Amino acid sequence: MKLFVHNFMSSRFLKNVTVGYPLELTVKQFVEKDIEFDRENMIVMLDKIQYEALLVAAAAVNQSDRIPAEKPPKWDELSDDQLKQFHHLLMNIDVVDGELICPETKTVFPIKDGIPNMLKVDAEK
Amino acid sequence: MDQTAEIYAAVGTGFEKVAAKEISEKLPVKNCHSGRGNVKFSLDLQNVKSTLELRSVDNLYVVFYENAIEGLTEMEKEKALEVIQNQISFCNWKLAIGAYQLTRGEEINGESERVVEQMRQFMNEGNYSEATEGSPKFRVTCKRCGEKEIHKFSSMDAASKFGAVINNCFGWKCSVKDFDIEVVLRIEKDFMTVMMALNKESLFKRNICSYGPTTMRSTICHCMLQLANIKPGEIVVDAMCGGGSIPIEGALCWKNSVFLGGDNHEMAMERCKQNWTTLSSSTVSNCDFFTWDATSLPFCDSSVDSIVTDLPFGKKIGSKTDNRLLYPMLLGEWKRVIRKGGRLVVMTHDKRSLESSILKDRSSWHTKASHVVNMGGLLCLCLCLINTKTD
Repeated sequence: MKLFVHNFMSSRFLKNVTVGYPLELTVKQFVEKDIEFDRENMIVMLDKIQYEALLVAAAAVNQSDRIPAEKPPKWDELSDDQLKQFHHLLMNIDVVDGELICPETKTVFPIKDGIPNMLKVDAEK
Repeated sequence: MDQTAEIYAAVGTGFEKVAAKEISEKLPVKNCHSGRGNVKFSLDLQNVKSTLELRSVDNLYVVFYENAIEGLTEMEKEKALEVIQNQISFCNWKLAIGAYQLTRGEEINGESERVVEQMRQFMNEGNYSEATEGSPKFRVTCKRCGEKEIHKFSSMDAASKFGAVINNCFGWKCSVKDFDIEVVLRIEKDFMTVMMALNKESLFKRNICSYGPTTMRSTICHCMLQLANIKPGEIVVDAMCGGGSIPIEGALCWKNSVFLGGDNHEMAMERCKQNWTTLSSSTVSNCDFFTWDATSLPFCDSSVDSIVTDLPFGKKIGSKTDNRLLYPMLLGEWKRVIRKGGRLVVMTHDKRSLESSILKDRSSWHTKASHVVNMGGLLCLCLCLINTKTD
């Protein structure tokens, strides 16, 4: 599972959850790929993300130092090198083993072999 | 080579216009016309190999004879078959072999000049060519459209007679199973077309190695994805992905967009993993899979750009009774998850359940396109809806 996708995920479908975002993330194993960087594409994607959730994801893989603690005011003002740091976090990192956790109920959704299991039935076992 | 080749592309019935759009956008075609289950177009012979890159087409043929044979429907069987056989000298074999060689990248024994010489000898001197070591293997198939009783001969008769005269003229070896060249006769009333297959294996046999109970052809997946009007940087979800045919085709063709597929069945996820592992690499990764409940998606409101899904028809998977309850729940959840203005592209055989679910919430969905598609004999409905939710 890519960290980019974590940014859009929520546990609102669970009972008694009001917001369910961002999901907590623990990563036991991940791989780093080498996806081609495209500046324009990265800016389009960055315009969609919530920065606080990105910080959660970066911390989960111990790579928070790649990006600033505050959201940059304008994405297109960043240099290619700076954008590549975001690109690396969002697109190159693939979580193989870990957990997604609902911030309110602490329900655990395991990630195994890169595939998160988001079934509420399985999680409540 | 300044020649023009006319190509017949076999396409899933119902998606002809979608295929025609891909063809005219991707290839330097001179004209393009959709028929029933096909799109015909012409382009320079030298560009013929590029037709293999088309993703919405099932099979490709080069047309090398097209004519009306007056009175074919009235002729007695023997006469009709003789007339069909005689058309062999009017077929442009040189063009056909030329196109075949360009697409397969391999030479036919003696190339296209040889067939011209063989034809000349056959017509002028009545000489038969002997089969040699290097002679290719071929077969002839015949398809008659419309009412079958209209002719006094059968498709098998026409195919075997035409095959016999090809064997005499060129010395090619006839082989029904293991063949290099496939000649296709298409007869509609008095009109006869002769085509040669360009692709060796059907083009929809790609992407998937692990098949499930309801795996959809990748060409149909491609047409559905085309309807979603995917832009770079967008997030496209298949909420009931089965073996992953739709997200995988998407990830391969729209490299700058992100595809997410999910299913609630463990076996389905195993198949997704197998299918995607063979295609992804350290440099291609725009497809992710999840185990989830399609009515309780783990996404924030309005976070997804489009959903493209093959719904359970209620035949092999689920039932029509289930669908009446399931479809409205799916639409409700998908309305939440897709951003306003985003698209929902769905395919189903259970038109009634789908249409009534949309009616229940008609202010939220605008029908952008509707296609009746033949899926293995079942007439299915493919709808492209735009999310027009108000809250």
